[in-house]
Amino acid sequence: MNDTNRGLNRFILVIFGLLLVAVGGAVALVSFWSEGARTWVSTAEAVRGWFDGAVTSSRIGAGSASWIVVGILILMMVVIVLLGAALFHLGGRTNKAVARTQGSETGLGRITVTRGFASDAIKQALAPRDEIIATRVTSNDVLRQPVVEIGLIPRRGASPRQLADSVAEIARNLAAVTGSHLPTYISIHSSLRAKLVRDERGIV
Amino acid sequence: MSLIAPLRRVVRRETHSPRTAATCLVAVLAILGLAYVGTEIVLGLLDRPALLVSPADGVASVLGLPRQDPKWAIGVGGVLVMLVGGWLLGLGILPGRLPKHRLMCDAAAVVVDNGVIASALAHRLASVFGLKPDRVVVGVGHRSADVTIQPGAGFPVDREDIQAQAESELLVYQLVPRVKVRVRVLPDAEARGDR
Repeated sequence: MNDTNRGLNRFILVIFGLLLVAVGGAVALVSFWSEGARTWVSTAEAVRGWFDGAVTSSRIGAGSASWIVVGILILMMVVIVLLGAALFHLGGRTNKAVARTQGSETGLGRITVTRGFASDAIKQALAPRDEIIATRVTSNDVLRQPVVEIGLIPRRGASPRQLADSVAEIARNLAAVTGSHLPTYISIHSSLRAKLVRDERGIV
Repeated sequence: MSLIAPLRRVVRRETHSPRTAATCLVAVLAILGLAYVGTEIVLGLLDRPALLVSPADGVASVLGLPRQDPKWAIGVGGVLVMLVGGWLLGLGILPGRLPKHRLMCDAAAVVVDNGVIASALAHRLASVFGLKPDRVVVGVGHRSADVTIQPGAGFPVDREDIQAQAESELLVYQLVPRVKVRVRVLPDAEARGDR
């Protein structure tokens, strides 16, 4: 999971959607409805007259440039920069927390468990299981809290209930051993690989 | 069972589309369009020839749109632009659920692809009723699961039994939201004479 700003994505889509609906609707209306065409022409002439007046009154020196055109250019550049910034953040970043450590005090002293250890332990515990084709364990910060994410690709026909329960049990046991309980997210997904692997292992 | 905030956020993000591809496309097209218009305006200010259309000609043709022909083509173009806008609006407003379900679990947040649920249910039904795996087809949607069984000649199966078995299996999975089961039993193709 990454930190893509989904609200911003939807905001951009809604704004451009509304813009296209308005422009497309207006164009369709003036083409198919004569009253709409007359309104378009009269409004266009009024806007043209106002714009020409504004350009003339804000002319820079003796040249053809005017402050209003410069203003429009600056506005367009601002929109381009904002869209570029949004585009830059679209991919999002995953806040990896693998290098961090989690400590817990016991009567005998302090136990420090690296996230790498937790990840390896879960992978090792899942390795002998026949119904799992692939495992991926990562640790990310979500809302400033570490979350262990376990991704599984099961063999075709494997029960997601049994998989979830056994993985949750492993995570619980690890928490009992290390004394640090991390929120755990388990994702069980299908893949082309799962479809290609046979349901049962053959007996040779 | 309610999840803690970080897990709630993860589940929400994993079960809904981020709309990244559509946003990326819209942003790139908008940047290219604005850059082109800006370039034409700058060329116009410098009294240099336009790349395609000068700003003055462009504005004049937009303002005089109702006088241009063919009207039907302009109208159809407008409708197409409106449809694209409606599609973008839909992407921005609709939830964009991915084909996944949350599975209730005490110790963790669990999200499962619908494909995994369908495969597990098909496998279970085939083994319980002694059918070949390719005789059971299961499709899982957001709130329903369609089970289609073609038992073949000499394998009488009761639709009610299959329905009950599928429902009890899905009950064990504890999916959120709950899924309703619809079962269809097809007659055997060979018995009908289809080849």
